Amino acid sequence: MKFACLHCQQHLEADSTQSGLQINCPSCGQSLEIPGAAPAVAQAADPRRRSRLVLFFGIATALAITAALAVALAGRPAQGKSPTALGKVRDNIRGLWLGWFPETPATLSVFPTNVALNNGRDWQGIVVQAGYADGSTRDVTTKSKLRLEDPKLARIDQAALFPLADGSSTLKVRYAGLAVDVPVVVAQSTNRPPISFIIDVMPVLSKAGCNSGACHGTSRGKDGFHLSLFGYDPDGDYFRLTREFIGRRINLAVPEESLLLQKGAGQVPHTGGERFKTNSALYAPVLAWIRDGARKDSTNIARTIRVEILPQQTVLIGAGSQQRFSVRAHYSDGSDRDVTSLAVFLSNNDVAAKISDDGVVTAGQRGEAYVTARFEEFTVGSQVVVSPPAAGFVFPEIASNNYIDDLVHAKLKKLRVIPSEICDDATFIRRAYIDIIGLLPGADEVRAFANSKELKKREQLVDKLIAREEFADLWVMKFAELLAIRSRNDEVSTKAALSYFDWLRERMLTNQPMDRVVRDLLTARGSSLTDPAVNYYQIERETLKISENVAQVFMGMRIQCAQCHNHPFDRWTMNDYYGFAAFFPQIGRKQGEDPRETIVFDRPDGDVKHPVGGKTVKPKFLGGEVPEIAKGESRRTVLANWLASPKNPFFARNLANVVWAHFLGRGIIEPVDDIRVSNPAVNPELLDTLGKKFTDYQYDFRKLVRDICLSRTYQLSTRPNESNVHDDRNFARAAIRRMRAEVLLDSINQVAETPDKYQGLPRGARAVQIADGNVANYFLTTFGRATRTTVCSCEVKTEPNLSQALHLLNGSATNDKLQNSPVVKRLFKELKEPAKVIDELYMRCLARNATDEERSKLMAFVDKAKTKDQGLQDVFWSLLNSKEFLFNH
Amino acid sequence: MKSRQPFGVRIIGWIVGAVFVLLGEPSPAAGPVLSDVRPAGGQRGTELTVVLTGQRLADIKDLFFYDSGVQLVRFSTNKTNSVSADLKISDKARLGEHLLKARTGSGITETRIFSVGPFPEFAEQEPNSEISRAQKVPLNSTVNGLVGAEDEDFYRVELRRGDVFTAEVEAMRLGRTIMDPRLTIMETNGTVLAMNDDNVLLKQDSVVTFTVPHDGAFIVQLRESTLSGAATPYRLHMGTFPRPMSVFPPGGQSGREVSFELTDAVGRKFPLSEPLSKTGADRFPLFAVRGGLSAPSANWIRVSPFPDITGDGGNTSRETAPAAAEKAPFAFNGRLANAGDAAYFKFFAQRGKALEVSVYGRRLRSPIDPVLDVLNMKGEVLTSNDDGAGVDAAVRFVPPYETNYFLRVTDQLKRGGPGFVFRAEITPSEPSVTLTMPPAGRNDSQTRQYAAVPRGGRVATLLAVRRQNVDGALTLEAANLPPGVTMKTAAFGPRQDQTVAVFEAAPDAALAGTLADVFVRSTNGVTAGFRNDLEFLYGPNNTAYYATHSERFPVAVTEAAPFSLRIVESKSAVVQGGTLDLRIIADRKAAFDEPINLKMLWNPPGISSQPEMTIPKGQTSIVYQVSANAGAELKAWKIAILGTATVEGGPLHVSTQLASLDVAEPFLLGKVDTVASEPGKMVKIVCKLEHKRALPAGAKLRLLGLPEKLGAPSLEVTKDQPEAVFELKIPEDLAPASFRQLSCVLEATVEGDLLRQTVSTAGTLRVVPTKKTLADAGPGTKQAKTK
Repeated sequence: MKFACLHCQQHLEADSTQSGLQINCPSCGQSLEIPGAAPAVAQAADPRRRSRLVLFFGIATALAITAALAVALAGRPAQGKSPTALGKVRDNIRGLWLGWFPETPATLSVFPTNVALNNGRDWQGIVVQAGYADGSTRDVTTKSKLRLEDPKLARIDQAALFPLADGSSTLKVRYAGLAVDVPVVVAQSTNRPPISFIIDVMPVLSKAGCNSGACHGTSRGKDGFHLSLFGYDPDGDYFRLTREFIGRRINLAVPEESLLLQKGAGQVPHTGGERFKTNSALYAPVLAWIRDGARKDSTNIARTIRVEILPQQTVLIGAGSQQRFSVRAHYSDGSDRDVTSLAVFLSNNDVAAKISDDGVVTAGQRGEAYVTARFEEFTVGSQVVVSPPAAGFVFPEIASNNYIDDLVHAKLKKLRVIPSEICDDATFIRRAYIDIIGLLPGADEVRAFANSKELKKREQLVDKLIAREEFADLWVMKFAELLAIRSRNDEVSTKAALSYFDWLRERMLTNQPMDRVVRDLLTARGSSLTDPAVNYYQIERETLKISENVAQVFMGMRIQCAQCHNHPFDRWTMNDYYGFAAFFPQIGRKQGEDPRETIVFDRPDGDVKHPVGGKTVKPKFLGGEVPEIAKGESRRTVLANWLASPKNPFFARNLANVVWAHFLGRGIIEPVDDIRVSNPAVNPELLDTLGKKFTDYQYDFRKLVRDICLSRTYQLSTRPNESNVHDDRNFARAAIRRMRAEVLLDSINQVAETPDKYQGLPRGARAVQIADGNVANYFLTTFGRATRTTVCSCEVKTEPNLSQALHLLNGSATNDKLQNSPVVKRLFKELKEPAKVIDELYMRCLARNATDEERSKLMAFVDKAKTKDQGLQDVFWSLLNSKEFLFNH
Repeated sequence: MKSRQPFGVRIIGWIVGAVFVLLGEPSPAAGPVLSDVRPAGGQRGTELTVVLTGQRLADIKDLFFYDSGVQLVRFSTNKTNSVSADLKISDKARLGEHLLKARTGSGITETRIFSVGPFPEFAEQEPNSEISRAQKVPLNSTVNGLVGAEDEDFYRVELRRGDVFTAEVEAMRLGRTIMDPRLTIMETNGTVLAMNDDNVLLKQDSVVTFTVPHDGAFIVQLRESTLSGAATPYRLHMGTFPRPMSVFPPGGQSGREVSFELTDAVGRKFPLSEPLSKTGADRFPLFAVRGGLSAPSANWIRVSPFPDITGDGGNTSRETAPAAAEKAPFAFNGRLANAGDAAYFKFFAQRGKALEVSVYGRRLRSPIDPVLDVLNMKGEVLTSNDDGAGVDAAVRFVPPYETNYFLRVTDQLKRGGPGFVFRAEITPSEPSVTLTMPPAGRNDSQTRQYAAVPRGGRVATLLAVRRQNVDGALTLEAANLPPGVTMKTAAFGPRQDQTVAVFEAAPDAALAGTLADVFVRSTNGVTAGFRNDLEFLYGPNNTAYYATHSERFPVAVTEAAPFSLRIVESKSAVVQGGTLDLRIIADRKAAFDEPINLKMLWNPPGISSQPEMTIPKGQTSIVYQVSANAGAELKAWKIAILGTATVEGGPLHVSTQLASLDVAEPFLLGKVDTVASEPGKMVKIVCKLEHKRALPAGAKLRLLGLPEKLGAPSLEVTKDQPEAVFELKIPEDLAPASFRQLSCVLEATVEGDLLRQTVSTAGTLRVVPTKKTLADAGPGTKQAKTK
């Protein structure tokens, strides 16, 4: 039985006999319960459907044999590029079948998979989802029949169970001939526990938006009333409600006249307007709590330990179709609660799928969205795919080069999107050169590659490029950006910055595994000049920022929000934040012998205090456990051993995503350093697999690059087809990407043969080799190179602007270089004919010959020019200014 | 060092000097500048010509070498900015750094470094900036070269398989401009075999030792580590010479012959037995020698007059700690053989007798970054230190009981290895003094670190002492001054750490120079010599990349200056809380009318003055006011003022005589009470007086701090007068306000000197608005209307 971890979404497998067992996720370490057998999913097996099948096969025997053959073929990986005749037949049959029985679900899922009603006030809503053969799902909650075997235990009202008496029973759910049993346990049905401030009232303040950033959660509060943002400080909120203006916000004598209720219900003027009705589920618990005396919770009340949102995956067909969600909180005492009405719902793509306050998603345009539910400090999410109704849509047989294509195609099938065709050889060699080594292929190389009959020539090209030193240079530059390598005042001298860059370059050149490189960085100690990795702790010296950078660069997490409040769109709480920061307060620094030198070492003491309560926080892995750290043991070493290891699921996936984004122009999670619950992977299976492969490859990212570059997905044409024209997220076609600043400058210098001179590098060095981010260069700045002032991936900009256009038109980058370029003169001397020179220039710049039309127009232009040289020079200038040159496509 | 010019040359000098005296004085010139010496060194046992470049060097007279071994033979050409000098380097000359200054007729230059090496020397031949144009050099030779910005120099050496080849560069150690070198050994195809940028032994300078893998040619590349540089000289030694990187034990007892084991980077050992004779300085050099080849630079040890104990890696716990046989002083030689090791030593100490515990590691160029802990017998840490002496650890430990203790030495970064050696010394806290010359400016350890005394003139210098357990007075003495030069100075008083010394040259003193000996002597017999820290190449935070020191004080007699300065010494003292106007006279010689900048070299404790003043162009005197605060010590101090004028484009320094400045008790103390009045009315401001001593004749009291319209009224004050009353009329048009800074000042002229003393401060006059009566209220007021 396969299921996903509720915390980290790691795919797990267990025997169905183990369902209900509490285990710790081997990936993230969090506790979870093994779900019921095959998440309460019933497979289609009703007699009526079988009889239809028999009838069908009886009527069309010949067709059935063909169909059987087609189905058999479908089980094997397709070898050819175009669908076979058999495949076409099979597709036709499949379409026919769907046409006949479009409403027959293949599976039926009931959420949650078990019901536990823990007290007299408890209740649990039920969501029923039908799954269809084409991968789509439908919310059939209202159409399903729900029956409790022992109706004395609970009553069913609008697909929700309310306790009547203690005992165990089974909820029978039936739809379209499919049946699912859900175990139900009712306990303490006569016990109605008092309303708790933390458990019952605080969620109301969140759901009603009282403690949001725009309202009282802002740092100074609103209209004189301050609440902790998203409720990170319940004790503080209790104090402010009950003690700041005694008798005003809470009126124990006349609870209904408490300002908290009157303002919230809009009974008195309230800047925020009416937040809830007096007859709503939000009003009642607050009133009850005040009537009870607005008591403070005891310190040992049960606390939420995790929250789940169900269903986890939804594929809606057609605008207007809907799916309701159920959110359940699990408490430290083992109980659970339906908190759908208290959760705050958000969708990251309202155009595709909008979610209402009560957790119902409505499909919009084709696309996908991730809906999240926030309850207390927990944020959980679920993927919603919206596809157009397309009866008879058939995903064509497309060859997969490797596992990447399998997973990309699987996703595209769900979206009913067909990938573009494979690009031609000339496009591929140019693309691979730019992506893998940051240079353009020479004209002869393009011709030889295009003319080669070698079957594995693309594979051979990729292998050859990966082995080149320029491959390492490109990745040294990318990592230098992530590590923000630049000289800075007294903290990082030019020498230290260069040593740091050289250190990184040596590791890339010798292909050291990335886990070791990261471990060396995190555990670095010694001199900033002779142990260059310690500059990691010089470029950023503040404990909290160091921990934020480590999370962002090596795990792709932006945890900055959680410094001041629990993250509103992610799982990170302040406890997580300060627990992670607690790995770094013991970094000691002292002046070395050399005036430019700092010695970084581990101090025996140093702690991080939680700003709420001021308690010392123990080091805790982000999304992981609290490790045992022996006295005298370096906290950084403990962290590094976890972070850069398979124990940390984020590390490999994050680096794999960074590599993927470089080659595909977009991360599977985008931006690559903003992995969060509300910004999930567009293809989680692909990301998981890439991460796993990266781990299996011992973190040798050359192998990962090879996989990516050899995949069909990387080799797709940029030309869209009808189905993928609007999809730029699922890698159904290649992205058109402007070359990044350094690569563009190097390419111009390469084709024009005009080497530049950069400070601190010998003449002829390439822009990607610039070690110190402080080296000034107008071209690079204009074209959006990273300033290396932060670790953010957003520093590199490839968006166009007017300065770029002007600089290319008449700036030194093209004009001056072409003036000094020997290329045109030499080619004209060698080739004699202008038309041949034009072709050669095209090949140099664009990796293709000029078309006949282009050639004849340009020849007419050259013929009119004062001299042929001048005319050809102008052609060269035009090529360097063409979009086709500036972009990798 | 005395002038080393041949007698004949000196005779000629005297004759020329006499001619100048007869014809009139020679054109005086300002202090010379020595920027560079090229080549920056030479082989011992050879003669060579060096070119000294700088400013105002045309009348060069001599070179000061601080050590024996290098001699000036002659100056061959003299130009203002460049002088050629023939030098002879004795075959007994000490290898390594030799300090050098030039003396001209007008002054002394800054110190430069000249390096003596053991190998034949060659000059770099450009172009050699590509592997293909690498300059061929023989083994065991030294190349004197230059590195510019983004310059790379390549050398080609022929080696045989199994040779241990070393390239060592001197660059930062030459102290010219910043050129932090990096050495790379390559195959001729550019494949890198070995590389070094920095290493602990040579700091920023580089050394590479590697075992040659095959017969053939190899390339040595030298560049600046960040590809900067500005035609900076270097000396590159290449060959199969010994180049140990560590020495053990790193010290020994003086008077004994000690066996040392020096080890190089590839593990070769160079045993060396050395009779140790010297003691007392920071460190002493050892040079490994094998097959007639010496290491080009030293490994360093420490020699101490007391016994030592060695624990060579086995003493990693208290149980295995070797114990000192005697009570302090003693030394421990140790080594952290493995990463994470600690070295333990046991010693006995008496209760309450303070001990200085100092670990010499980095000071002896060991890679260790020592941390010391003193533990009691239970293993509890009593005191710790990391960086008490630069990177090394040093701490004062006062034993709480008479018992055994442990010294534990670890590395801050928990490293270890054969080269991680150290020597820990435990000595009783004893008095000590060091005499120094404070730097004249920021990032500047060279300006005026000498005395260039004009004939018939004076120059003053500031001297300082660093004391440890020596509180009493210290007298200052000088020996080996040039003939005709005397040093006048006052003793350092108890707890006084700075003083001025004035050097005076007789009018007929010959132009000559010496490296004089200046020292202090305490009343209880402690004497201390002079130590001049010389820093080169400053990096961030006013920290030098390279520093050395000298123990001699350069003094020279120079041509007479075109002006002299004197303080007109006052018979009156500056009183506590008072000021005294000192008159400074400039005696200008004909045609010299340049402005003269004056600087009080040292303010005695409690005395303050303007940091600098200027006697304007053409003028001959100025008043330099000094103030004493109310708590200034009642004492007769000695002061001197340094004057600097621009002569022939450079600065020329002369000073006043060493003058007395007495601090005396105040004459009067007083207090002004707060008074209030209205515009147009009279007010009496009373200053109550307390007479402390007899008033000078004609003393007056002035009231200061009043608004301009009231002026500064003054009153005669007489003996025993109990109070002074200033009666004033407040002008009608004075806007109401409070004047809180009224002070009463005593002024008197005593023998021409204006003397002031603040008698009281912080009195207040409140001018309040005129009270209006009903009658004052004119028509239009409310009452008037009511009427």
